[in-house]
Amino acid sequence: MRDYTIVFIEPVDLADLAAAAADAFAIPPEQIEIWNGSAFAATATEPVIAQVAIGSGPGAYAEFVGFDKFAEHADEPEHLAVAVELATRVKRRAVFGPESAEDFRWTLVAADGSHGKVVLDGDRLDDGAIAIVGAVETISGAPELPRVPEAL
Amino acid sequence: MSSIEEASGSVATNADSARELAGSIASSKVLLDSLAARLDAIGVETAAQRTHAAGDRAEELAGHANALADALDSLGQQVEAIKGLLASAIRSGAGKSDRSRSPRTASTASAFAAQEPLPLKGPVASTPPTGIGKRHFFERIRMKSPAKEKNTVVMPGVDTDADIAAIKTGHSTYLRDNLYEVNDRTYGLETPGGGVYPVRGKGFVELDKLEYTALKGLLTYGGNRAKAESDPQIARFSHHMTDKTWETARNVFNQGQERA
Repeated sequence: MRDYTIVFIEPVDLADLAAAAADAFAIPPEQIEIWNGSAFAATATEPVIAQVAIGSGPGAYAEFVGFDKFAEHADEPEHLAVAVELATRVKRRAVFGPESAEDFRWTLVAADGSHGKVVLDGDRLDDGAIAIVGAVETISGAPELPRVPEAL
Repeated sequence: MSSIEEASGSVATNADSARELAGSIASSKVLLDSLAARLDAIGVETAAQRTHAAGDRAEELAGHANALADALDSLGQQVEAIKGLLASAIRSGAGKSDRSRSPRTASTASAFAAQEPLPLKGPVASTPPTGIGKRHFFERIRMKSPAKEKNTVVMPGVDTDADIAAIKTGHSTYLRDNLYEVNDRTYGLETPGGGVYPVRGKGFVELDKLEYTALKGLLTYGGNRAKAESDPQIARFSHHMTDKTWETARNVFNQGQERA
């Protein structure tokens, strides 16, 4: 199953995020679910292609989620390409998790589209919180992030 | 536990001693009263009054000794109660330990620790492994546990402590990058923090985001799918989860229950 979960770590309006996703990937707006935390803002039309939702924990303000139907609809884009497209359109930072069980580093995409690997606080992640410890590589759009050694 | 038992025995002995002392003082008081009566009878009035006063003092002391004995008895009961609480806490702690680790965890982990350390390869040479995040353990997954694209769950009974001890002491196979293999299980080591995460292998289960979310629901609601589906954090995925999603999660849930 393809999974395009992108977590916005800065406040973003869900309607704006849905509109950005609709524009970026030519998705009919009614086929994007908007989940406000307790209910859907409106009944989406089947097949649902993507979802935007409020964040599910501290440090996570909003999420874009797409699965197989989104992958088929958008012609199997790279996860990073989707994140860059959305982050630059709403001009907010976003992160997404490792795509392999072997990796632990997340990817941060800044509002200007620059991106790089980051390390999250594992203890806080256990409790559902997104807290960045530092960047493994320089990210021009997030210069204040401390560098952490790659140590590999 | 032996110290508590010693304390309990000591308090009981002291209470008995205090009660014996009270009895002796009370006997002395009887003798003093008798002596005072005789002195009074033979006209030694002053001595009789002093003896009488001594008897009253003895009575007072006997009262104190009895009060001390009562206090020691009460203390003894409290020590016994603490003993009971400690015993049940120890039993309860042992039960929890059995659910999250194999019974031989401590001995196996310490066995690795006791072995001659081997040269360390990869990041473990500079980053000592700490532990595995609770989101990875079947018994410790909660609704707030983050569901990622790939999620590896450690099933009950897997001796991860022993595996980590092996990685720490160089008794695992260094695969590449930050990956190690031990006992047919692959682990990753996070740098710079030292957290260890399960990747794949014997006793591990790999789930996608929706399957892991369904498992969170089953664990939270005691295996009740209908209740799990009504939780807002799961209901939001109602258009994306299928019966197959739930079957996979159910199988893992059942396996975990059997192994716990």
